[in-house]
Amino acid sequence: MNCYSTPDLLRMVDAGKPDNSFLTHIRSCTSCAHAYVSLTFSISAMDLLPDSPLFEDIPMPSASLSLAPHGFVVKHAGGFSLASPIPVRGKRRSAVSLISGPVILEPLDRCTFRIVISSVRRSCTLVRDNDVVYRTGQRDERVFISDLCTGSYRLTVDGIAFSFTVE
Amino acid sequence: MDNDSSLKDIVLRYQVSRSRDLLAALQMALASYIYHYPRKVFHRDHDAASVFYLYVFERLETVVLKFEDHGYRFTTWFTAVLRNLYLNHLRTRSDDASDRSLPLSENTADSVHGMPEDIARHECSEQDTRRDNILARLKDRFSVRDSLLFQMHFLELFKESIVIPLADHLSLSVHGALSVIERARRTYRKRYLRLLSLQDTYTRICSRVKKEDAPSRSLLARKNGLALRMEQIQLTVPFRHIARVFSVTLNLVSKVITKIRSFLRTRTSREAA
Repeated sequence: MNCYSTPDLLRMVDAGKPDNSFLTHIRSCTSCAHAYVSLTFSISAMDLLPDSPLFEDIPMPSASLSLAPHGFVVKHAGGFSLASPIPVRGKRRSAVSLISGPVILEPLDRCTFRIVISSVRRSCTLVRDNDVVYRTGQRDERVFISDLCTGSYRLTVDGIAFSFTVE
Repeated sequence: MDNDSSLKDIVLRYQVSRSRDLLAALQMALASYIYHYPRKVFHRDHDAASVFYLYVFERLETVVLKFEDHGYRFTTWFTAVLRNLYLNHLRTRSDDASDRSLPLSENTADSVHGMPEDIARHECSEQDTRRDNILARLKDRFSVRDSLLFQMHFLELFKESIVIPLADHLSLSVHGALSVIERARRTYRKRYLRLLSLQDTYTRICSRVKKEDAPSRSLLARKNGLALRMEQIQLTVPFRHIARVFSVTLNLVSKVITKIRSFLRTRTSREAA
């Protein structure tokens, strides 16, 4: 008797219960039996065993903000925390900064801002509107990238990506 | 993968349009499935899983272009392809691969249908070769029942080869034999889940050790302790369960398995000498 084709085998596995002619066939055909059984066990293992939390889709921190005379106006800040320090008596209130992991976005004046990165272990790249603005491939402490203006930014620090748009 | 029909739809649309967005969506949807395949099916650790993930990721575009809709689920087809890719991946990584990979199904009719041509054959992995060697040694020396008792105990190694002999011995249908094996595998499911969770913890600790310049001694000790605990976990079917399946005494199961183990050990050491 001829062996079953791969599509037939796949349909048989999908059905969950093979038909009698197939059952008779695989008693004498090691090849089809092996293909059927190994696929059945693979699918049952993939369905039954849980995934590990080590492979999770972590959403990339992203923010959308605009520059104003008094600092940032934040429209959306997913994955970023807003740092708004309490003003000291007699002094001006500090402007709002955005913090996410080792990255801090700080407004400088009405049309520029800067990025402070607390530490870079392997590499750091900043891309603005598809142009590389800053890149380092070495270990560094407290990286300052100043005089940045409006644009769509994507920052990668040691493989972790941050995205933000400044208007 | 939860939604098979939507995946199939993305694949078929991608085959026509070759849109980068569709490929990205497909990569997102399949990423976790690909990564965990060697872990769940072949009990490999995170290191092996990530290497295999990259291996498949490079070929994913070519692979999905080979899919043809012939009435089966995309997940089933993709699992079959992943298995072949995994065995190919093992073959490319091993030095003396050509000796180990023996095609099992030269006579499978049009087995290339819908599969990437170079991975269409069902090939033997190192584990298959090891299993075949053991079975060849047991064949002349022990009865079918004794051999089956041993294979049932070390079920993870023999789960694919035991089905037909078990069905014949217990006068069951193949489907019945598969159910018996699934029930037997459930006896060590908790241990297997424990192994997976220990692998997760071990990987987290390893990444902390890598990140820290001078990892603490307690962290290193924890890492070694976990490695030891993982080694100690044995995915074997308990004697009591085997005795119940074959309707024999616990004492007999214990005696037979000990006898076969010592036989294999002496044979191996004699061959090595």
